[in-house]
Amino acid sequence: MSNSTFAGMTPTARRLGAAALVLLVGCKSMLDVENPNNVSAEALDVPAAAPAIVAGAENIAANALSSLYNAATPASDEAYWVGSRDDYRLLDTGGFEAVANEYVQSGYIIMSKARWMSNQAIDKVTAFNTANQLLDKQLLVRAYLNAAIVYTAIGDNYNDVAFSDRTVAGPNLTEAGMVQVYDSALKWLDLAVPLATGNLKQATIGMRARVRHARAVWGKLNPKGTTPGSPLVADAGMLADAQAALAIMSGDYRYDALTSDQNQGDGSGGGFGFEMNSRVEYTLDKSLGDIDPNSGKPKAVIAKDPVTGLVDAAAVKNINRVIKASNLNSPPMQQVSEREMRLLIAEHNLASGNNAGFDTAINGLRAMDGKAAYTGAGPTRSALLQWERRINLIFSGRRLADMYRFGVKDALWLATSIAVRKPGCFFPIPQIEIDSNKLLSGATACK
Amino acid sequence: MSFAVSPRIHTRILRLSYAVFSGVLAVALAVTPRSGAAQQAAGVGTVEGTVKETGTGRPIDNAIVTISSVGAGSVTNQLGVFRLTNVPVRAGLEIKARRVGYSQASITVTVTNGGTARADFTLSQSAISLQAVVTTGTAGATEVKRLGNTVATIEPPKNAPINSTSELLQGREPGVIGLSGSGLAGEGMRIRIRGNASLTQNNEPIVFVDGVRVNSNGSGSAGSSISRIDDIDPNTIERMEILKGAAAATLYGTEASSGVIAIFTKRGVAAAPKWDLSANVDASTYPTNRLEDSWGMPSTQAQADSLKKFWGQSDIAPFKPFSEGILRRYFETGYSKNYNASLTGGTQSLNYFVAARYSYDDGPFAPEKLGGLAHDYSKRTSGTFNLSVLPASKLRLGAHGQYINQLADRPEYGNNIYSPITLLVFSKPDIANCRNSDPTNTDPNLGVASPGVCKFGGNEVGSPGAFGTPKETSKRTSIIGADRYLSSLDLQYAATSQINLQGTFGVDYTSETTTNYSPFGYNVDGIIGDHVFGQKGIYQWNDREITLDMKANWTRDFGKNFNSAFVAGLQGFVSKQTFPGSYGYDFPGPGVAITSAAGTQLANDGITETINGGYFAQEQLGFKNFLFLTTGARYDYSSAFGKSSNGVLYPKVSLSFVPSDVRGWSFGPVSSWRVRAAWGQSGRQPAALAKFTTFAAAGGPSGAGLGPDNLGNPALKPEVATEIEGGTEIGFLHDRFGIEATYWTRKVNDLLFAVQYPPSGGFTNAQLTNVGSMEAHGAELSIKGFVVQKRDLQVDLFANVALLSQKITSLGGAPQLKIAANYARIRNFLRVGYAPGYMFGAKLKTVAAGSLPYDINKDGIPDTEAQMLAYLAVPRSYTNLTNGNVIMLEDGLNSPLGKPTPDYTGAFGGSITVGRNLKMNVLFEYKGGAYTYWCLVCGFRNASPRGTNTMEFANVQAVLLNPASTAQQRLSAAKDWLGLASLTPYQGLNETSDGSFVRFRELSITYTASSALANMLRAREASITLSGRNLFLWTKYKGVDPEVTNTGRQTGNDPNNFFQENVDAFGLPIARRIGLSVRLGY
Repeated sequence: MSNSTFAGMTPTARRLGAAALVLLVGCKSMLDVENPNNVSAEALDVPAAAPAIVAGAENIAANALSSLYNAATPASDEAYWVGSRDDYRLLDTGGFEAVANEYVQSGYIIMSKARWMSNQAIDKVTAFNTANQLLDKQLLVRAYLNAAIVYTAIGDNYNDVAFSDRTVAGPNLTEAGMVQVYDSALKWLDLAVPLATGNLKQATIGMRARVRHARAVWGKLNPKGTTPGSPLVADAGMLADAQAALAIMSGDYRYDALTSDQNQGDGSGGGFGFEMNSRVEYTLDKSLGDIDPNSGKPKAVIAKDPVTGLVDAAAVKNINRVIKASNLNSPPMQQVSEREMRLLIAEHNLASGNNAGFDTAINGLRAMDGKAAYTGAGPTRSALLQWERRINLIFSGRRLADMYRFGVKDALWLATSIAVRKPGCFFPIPQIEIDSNKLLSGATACK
Repeated sequence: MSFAVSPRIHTRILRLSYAVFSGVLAVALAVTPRSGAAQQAAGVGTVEGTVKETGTGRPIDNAIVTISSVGAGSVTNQLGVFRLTNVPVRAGLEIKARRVGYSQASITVTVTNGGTARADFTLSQSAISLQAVVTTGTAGATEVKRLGNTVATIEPPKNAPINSTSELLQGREPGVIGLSGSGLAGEGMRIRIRGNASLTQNNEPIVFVDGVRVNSNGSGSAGSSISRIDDIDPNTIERMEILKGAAAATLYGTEASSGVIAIFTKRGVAAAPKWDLSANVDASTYPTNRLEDSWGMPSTQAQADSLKKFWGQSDIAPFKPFSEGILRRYFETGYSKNYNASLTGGTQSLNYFVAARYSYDDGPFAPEKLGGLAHDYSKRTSGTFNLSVLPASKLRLGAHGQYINQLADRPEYGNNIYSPITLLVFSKPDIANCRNSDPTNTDPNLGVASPGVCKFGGNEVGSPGAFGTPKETSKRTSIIGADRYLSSLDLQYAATSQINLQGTFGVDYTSETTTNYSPFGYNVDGIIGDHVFGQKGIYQWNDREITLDMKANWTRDFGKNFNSAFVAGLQGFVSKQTFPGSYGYDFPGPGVAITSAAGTQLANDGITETINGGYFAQEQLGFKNFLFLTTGARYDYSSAFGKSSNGVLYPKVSLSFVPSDVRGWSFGPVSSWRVRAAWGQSGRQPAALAKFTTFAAAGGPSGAGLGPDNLGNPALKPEVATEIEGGTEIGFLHDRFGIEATYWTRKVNDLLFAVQYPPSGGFTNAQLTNVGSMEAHGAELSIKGFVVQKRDLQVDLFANVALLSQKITSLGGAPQLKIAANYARIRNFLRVGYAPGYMFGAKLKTVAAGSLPYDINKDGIPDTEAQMLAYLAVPRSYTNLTNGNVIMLEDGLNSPLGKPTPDYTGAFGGSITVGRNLKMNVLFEYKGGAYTYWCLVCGFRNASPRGTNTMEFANVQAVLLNPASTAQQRLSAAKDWLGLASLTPYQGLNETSDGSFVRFRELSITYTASSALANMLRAREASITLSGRNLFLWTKYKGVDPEVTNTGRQTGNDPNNFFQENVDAFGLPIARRIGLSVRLGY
């Protein structure tokens, strides 16, 4: 432009034109604003992000477990519904097949997030490790262990799931294909165990024992629809892992998934601890606790040891650990424990016809709470195993599978409910996944 | 990539804005002295006169008198008197007088040096307003008749029972709806104009005050809400201009597709100081005639005996339902008071308007009776000033400021188990007891002090256990408080007789604090379990809205027949919100109420910044005085799409033809006639980060973590609403009667929809994507007439109706979206082929005669009455007729149940003036047509095990359980139960009903003192008004009030907060208000 262009303009017009020009030029750069609330996807490619990636995966997993237990707990005979939100009523009466149940759906949503993030953590941290950029190898162990916990929880509690990636839909595994989740968990634990040190050593080996057991239980409950004739699990690999883990566990060892105010709650509620302990939508089963009729809260644990007929100290300890947690909304969620290792060893021995081995293992467990030794008198060994599993693994998403394999029916389940008609039916793929995933296929046995 | 960093940007923008603004100011001032000097050299005079009403001769106040050729103007006082000084000497000066609701008039005068010319006007009341001047959406003042689109104008009625700006919008303009939240004190309204123009973005219109974009959001706290539009003192509002859709709002560009409300505050006039004082006191009550008592039924003789003692009712017996009005025990007569004062005046070079207001509303709910900490009041204190400086005839500088202090202290509320109202609604009189007053069970009176009252403690209201008791939850407080400053500077400069420059710079800053507090040990009944050692959350919401608006107008004539008005300018908005907050629970002891003392403490934080800017231009071409073509466009940028994104163009065109202004026009009784048509576009943009893939904090016991957050969509762009409207205005008999009719149709393309990708993909949040389209059309019809216009009797009547039909036409293959996410009990959906928010749910299966839609034996076949009789041969509970999906449905939860928006809405009313002193105004508002309201609270009261307490339910359960009942009686009860069953797994069953209603919204009877009487009070004017609001309701709705909404005026662009406007969930009914107000002018 030459100066002559402006020759005819008044000073006023020139000043206005200059101001307009400044705005025209300046506006585009103004659009670069600050919103420092989150990070872009590229931020996860930085090795320094490894601790945050793994911690994020663990925190989301704990959140997911809390949501899952929120549905699984009233569904089983661990608790019953006393609140107002009637989708719990469906669960309490054995109606697990409703794809629109808000608690089933919320649990699935956040479990899917946990599943994806657990894979992401493994991918990212493995890449850092391969590039020799991972300063703390235990982060990789934690990523493997976390993924194993998430995948096992999925296998234990869902009939079927789909694995997608961001916007790309993936097919469902099918009910027959769900065994894959246990295989994935075992694969990661095989990688984790050699790397694990310290507290994670017990956790990874113990978890591997648990996964082997869970995989075997899954096999007994599938195809769905019948109560297995021989519900007990005998598995040499499980036994070896349980024994190895037990050998290095002490002090009532437990590896818990933990929530706090930062990582609990979902689209339907506040998570397992809040819904049971604070909001009191459901409460401890009457066979286990004395329930205040006004508040719906347990006044005391009354579960009786079938051997002695006395209040079961293990039940008191394990139930109170949850219902009287220091933060009622965030009780610990046991994933691996010394108690479970003893249970797994006992079950293997019982399934193998080794009653003495069963007695030794079960009495080792009972001794942890000062309970009298079992000598064969009183309940059968199978009944005792079921009892000890019920009170030592309470509120950890395991009870429903045990009820199915041992043929136990919740008194509140309706005779016409899916829980009674089709043993082995857990939670379905929910409506939100059905609506959004065109690749889902196959029929469910749970209808 | 990170979105953090760079705090300098904002400063840069501010500096740039100030620089540009001051630049324009400097330019204007630089040229001003020359003009002024030239003017003084020619000499000046004065023009004065009166403006009165034709026929009645009453003076018209606030009429605007202008001499546009010399840029002079004034406003009449209450006596209709105006005075214009320093008018340049000239012969043949045309003076115009106008006022909203009146025809315009003009007089030609000659001004001599030092002389006074007189101009006395009479204006006729006009049922149509083609000559009214509007400024919104046109980028400059223009007559209504020149526009091809509608611009509605609302002038606050002087004595109407209006305590808030939202109330001012209710029922005054067809197509503009104020959706009441509920009857809690201070609850905010949602505003809807022509339905919904977006599925995912805010459906609220954007609001400007004196040209400055302001915060008009809602704020929610523990189920209650307020509206920030109510911060604006309604007594300072001169008028509101409303653009109803894209065809009119194009020049506002992105974000205007849901309409624009422009508020203009009062300005000072060149006159002696004038004081206006007013005070009013209202009493408010809940209409309890539609509120059903709480019913219960003892099932044993022992229970009946104890209930006899508790309630003092001797006729309570097993299986005999009885009732108590438990909720209404906690009602009282609420009251509100409003004090207003304003001062206005000025000289020819300086005008001022200053106002102050104190408003306090103590609602009819009385949580204090529960011994709690919560209250039910809302109050606002505000101060306003408007200053206009006219340093020269061509320059006007304005400064505007408002300060507002707002506080709302209410209980937790809504569909919320920690709301005392919810728990009172749930109350079951059959489980009330005073056991805590008689722990040893030895008191012959069972601990009862008097009927319904315990000696020391107990379950006095029959709280159904779990969750908490009303006493406990009344100790949880929910407080929203704010300090707000709204300020602006504006400049108008007439550079030449044809060119005008305007600039506005404004800042609206709101610092809002929401506090939720439960004291240590508030579990006084031992029921509530939520952080019983106390908790407190303090959440700040700091909002800053900056507006920069500059434009130039160029008006000129071409030859004898053509005239042109060209406008070009730019507009920028910087919006920034910060959200610091803290939360803590477990206090060390009673009395501690700070988060920093809590055993567990959490902090939260967040920042959001959005910048929108655009350029606009408009050309309005007129042929003679009756044909006008307007074309314009706006080109917009937004930071939501990143700095690399291109802008978006929003064009418009409109045509207005006024046959009655054609020379020689004559058509019998038709005095005015205009036809018009307009086409235009505007948009809505997504939130700041919707375009980007992000990971968010995922903290917890494992430490600081990251997790999937936003999927991101690089192709994201604004959704664009295209609207066509056409209409006509016809005035009859010198405009004593008028009809205004408009038909409009709207299509939203690139509809932003929250596409839910498979949650199994890990990113579980739905992603905004431009996938769909939505269509709507409607019509608006207003009729108005000054039926009687005698000196001692005037009767004015009006009626209007707005028709609305809207439908989602495409979601691009994306799955439907359920409103309220996973919450099972709300069944509004966004589904192709249906209106937004259409409801789907359970509907009873149609069965053959002799059968019932029960499948007790689960054989898949409806049970016969014989089978049912066999089953009901023994006592059964209603749960036997519920659990296990035994009620057979037509199509699961997928039966269409109705739409949440009415086919038609509108208002009618009028005024009668008797003599010169007494005036009565009435306004009725209505909604109707295919309009379905969802009574969630009915579902709870009929079918929830925790809250079943209706008479119908008690009767059913009594018959079913009573061993003395026959099987036939139980069968009859089972049939009745089919009319009550609800909630899971039958959501929607028996919960919906016709939401149509007519409401007697406003009544005011005003006595205006004669001048003589006013003088006795040494007042310029005086009046007293008896008023009523929401006096009566006529409806078929089965719940308590079809204006109670679930979400109130909650904030956010979350579609979960939209489309629940027809869901009634534990809200208090809209209160009935009767008040007395006094106005004095000095």
